[in-house]
Amino acid sequence: MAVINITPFTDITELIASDRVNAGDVLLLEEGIYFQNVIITKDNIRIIAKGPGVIFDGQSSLITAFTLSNVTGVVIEGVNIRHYRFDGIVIDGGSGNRIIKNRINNLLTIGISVFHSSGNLIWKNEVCRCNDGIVLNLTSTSNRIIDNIVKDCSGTGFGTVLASDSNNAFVSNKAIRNRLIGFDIFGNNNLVYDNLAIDNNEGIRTGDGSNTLIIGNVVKGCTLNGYFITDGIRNQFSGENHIACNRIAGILDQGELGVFYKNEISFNGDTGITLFFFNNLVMDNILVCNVPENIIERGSGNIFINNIQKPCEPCEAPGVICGDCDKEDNSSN
Amino acid sequence: MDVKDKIKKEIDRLTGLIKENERITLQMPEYLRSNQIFLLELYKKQLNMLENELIKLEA
Repeated sequence: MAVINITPFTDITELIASDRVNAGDVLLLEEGIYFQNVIITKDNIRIIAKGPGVIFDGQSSLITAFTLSNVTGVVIEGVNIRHYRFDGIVIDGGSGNRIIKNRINNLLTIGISVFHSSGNLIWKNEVCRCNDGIVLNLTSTSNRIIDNIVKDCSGTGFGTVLASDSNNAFVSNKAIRNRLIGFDIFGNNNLVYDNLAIDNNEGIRTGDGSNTLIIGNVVKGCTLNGYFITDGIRNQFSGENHIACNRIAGILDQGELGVFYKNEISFNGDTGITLFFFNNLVMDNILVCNVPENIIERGSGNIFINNIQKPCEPCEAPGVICGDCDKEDNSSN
Repeated sequence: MDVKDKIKKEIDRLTGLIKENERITLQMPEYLRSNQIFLLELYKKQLNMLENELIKLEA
């Protein structure tokens, strides 16, 4: 294994493809502005920024900064990426790659795009002012998306696209001020845990799959619903989420056989929980001052146990209470 | 929005981007062009896979 120093004048794609680079080698990037597409076609290459000034700038003409093409065990750490025409980092096939502490901004499409790939770690990256933040697509499974921030994107913060994008975990991420959805999660057995969604169009949406787990998230200040469960979702579990100050429903449920357990749902502008379908269990939730009702049931066979419902106090209403709550949270991030 | 709408939107977006970037790539110097072409092929593969998913869903 060797450490190879890289400058902005090195053709990194060509170097990796050559015999001079072997599995386990570290490519140590000197600070400076790089103008290139890097395509990684060899396993276990570690690309590490030497300092905070490593910048890949596509100058609005190059397509993608880093593409991991059917590789395993590649690390990309500490790089700034901006002004590419497509995505910042693409993982195409392969597995077990680590994308860590990169800062990605001003791209036309996706900050970090994973397709047909499994077991990757996407950790502590920041994506802003792109189309979408971090997206898993085309049968991407068992990926771990942890402690990332996506903000000010024109589309979705974090997402999976197809039913086959399954068994992924989104943990401790922040989606702030994205124009569409904070967490748009399709597929089966995905986990959304301990995330923050503030001031997005919609906080969390689940679709086309079953067994999704939505636990311990904070969802506030969305233009539409806090959490929208689309038609046909079965056996989703929502527990201990804090859903407040969203302009429409706290939770809008079009699924069936779901469980809503110990959520705090307050000050939402058009009901706390609306259940459109059947056979959901709603238990031990606290609902405070959602207007016009804390719970509306339009389906049937739903079971309600031990929920605490409080109406608005005199002079209390979502518009009054929520005021600047999203701004307060934004300023701390 | 259901999954079909989502895929259709993605297909439209990718189709537009590929077309636009093919044009831009043709104007690039030779030393940059090969990687750009590799990446465009990759996105075309992605587009093709999405189109197949849509066909499966609409069948």
